[in-house]
Amino acid sequence: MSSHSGGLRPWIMQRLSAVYIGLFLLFFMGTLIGNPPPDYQAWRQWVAHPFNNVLFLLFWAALLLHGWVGIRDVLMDYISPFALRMLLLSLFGLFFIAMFAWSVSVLLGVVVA
Amino acid sequence: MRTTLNKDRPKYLNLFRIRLPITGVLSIAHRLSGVLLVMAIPFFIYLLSLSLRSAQGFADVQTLLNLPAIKWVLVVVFWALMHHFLAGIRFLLLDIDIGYHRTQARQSAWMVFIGEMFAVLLLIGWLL
Repeated sequence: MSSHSGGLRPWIMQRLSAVYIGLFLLFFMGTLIGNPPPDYQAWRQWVAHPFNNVLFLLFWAALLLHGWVGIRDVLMDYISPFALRMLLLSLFGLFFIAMFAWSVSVLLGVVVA
Repeated sequence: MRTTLNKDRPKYLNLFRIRLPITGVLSIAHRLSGVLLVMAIPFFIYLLSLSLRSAQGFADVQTLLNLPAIKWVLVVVFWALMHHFLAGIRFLLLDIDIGYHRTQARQSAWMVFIGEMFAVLLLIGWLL
């Protein structure tokens, strides 16, 4: 946790994840609008394709990391009482971990099952 | 160097008395849209999960996305996404010293706001 409270590393992570999220969304929207999956089977196959699946997993990882750094910055700037700030940071930390677990289980569930 | 403090100086920040330049409004909107997008994450993982669960779930997502109330939620989330995306590109360019001067920074801030409004109007036209 202490290494996260610094400045430069989160700053770089925020920018790298931003670039990946932006590129993924362009790719994702482009694919879905240009060639929308006609039915459930096609959609499931698209997500289960290893290439798309890995890009999608990386997207959730980048998005949740990006969200965490952003929320952390906002809480550090606006919430000054120490106990309240720590409580909110912990709650959001749990939230992002839970969302990551959920998104991974959804994406891997398609590949495994 | 001044050694005495103005005793009548404001001791708090009244947000309603601060008139931000357009670049400041953009910065706040970037934070607001970011927080909003974080709040929307569970909804989108839920939609993804439902759409991949079964053929019935896939159909349910399509029904859900066609509900008028959900369409308006999508418009708001789309605004947040477009704002965050365009303003984000602007901030990344500023990081590498592109558009750093005040006139350019203000112009690019206006371009972001005009761009996102245009995108939102397009989406509203397409959804309704």
